[in-house]
Amino acid sequence: MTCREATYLHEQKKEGKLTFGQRLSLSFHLLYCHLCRLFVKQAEQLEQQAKNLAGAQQINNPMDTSAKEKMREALAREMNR
Amino acid sequence: MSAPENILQPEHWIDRYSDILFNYTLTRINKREVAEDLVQETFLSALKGKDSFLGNASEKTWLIAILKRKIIDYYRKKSTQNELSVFDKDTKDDFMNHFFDKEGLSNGHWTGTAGPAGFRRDFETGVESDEFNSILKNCLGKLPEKANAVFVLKNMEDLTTEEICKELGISASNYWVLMHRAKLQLRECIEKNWK
Repeated sequence: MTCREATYLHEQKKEGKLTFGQRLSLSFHLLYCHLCRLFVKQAEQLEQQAKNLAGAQQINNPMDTSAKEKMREALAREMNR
Repeated sequence: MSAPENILQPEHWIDRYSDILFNYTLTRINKREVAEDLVQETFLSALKGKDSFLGNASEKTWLIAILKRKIIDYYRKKSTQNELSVFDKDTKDDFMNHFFDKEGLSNGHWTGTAGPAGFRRDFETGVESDEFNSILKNCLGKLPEKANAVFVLKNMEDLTTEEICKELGISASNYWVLMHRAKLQLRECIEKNWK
């Protein structure tokens, strides 16, 4: 198995989409390939960070006042229909 | 018994929720103009559909549910528009050749330049995590639209693989190719910028 295949199959492994043979080849590849092990570890870290970001409720970027005013007008028009 | 917070007060929506919805969108689609449009569309759709609000969720939860739908629709439209370009065979080969050798004994193995190196900083909380998050958002924004779509819908919107394929109108094998590409490119972008 090549690194290209291993990194491609890893996502499918997480969802149980691999055959027994594929799982075996992938595990074997990861056993001797430290770059792919690192890739898998970092990819999982990034997924976790993305999940944390999705759940964060911080307001780091307030909307522009002008955009809010435009929305206010649009909404008012709609309410007065 | 009806809880007092579970009524709709459209006259307060902009003051109470526009920044919340705007930031929710920006973490998923890192484009201010798109985010402004989607927030406005969310309020307008909510107003039109206010009779469907049953009061069993908070006003905020209800508005976010409408926004989630808008975000998926945004990615679906992008996905149909870019049908051809992302799967252009030459582009895909160039992309993969950057990461993996294409001939000789090392065929299919990491190239010397693109093999993963350790991230130079660990993940932490607090101020550093704000800094990391802004890098993450920028790197997500640099992915091709479809790759961005599958990564965001999977990891941030919690859709299943089957749901994503259906929403974006792609096959399962296209999905795996896009996710592979997204992770290769995202990881590299973070490695270059998180230091």
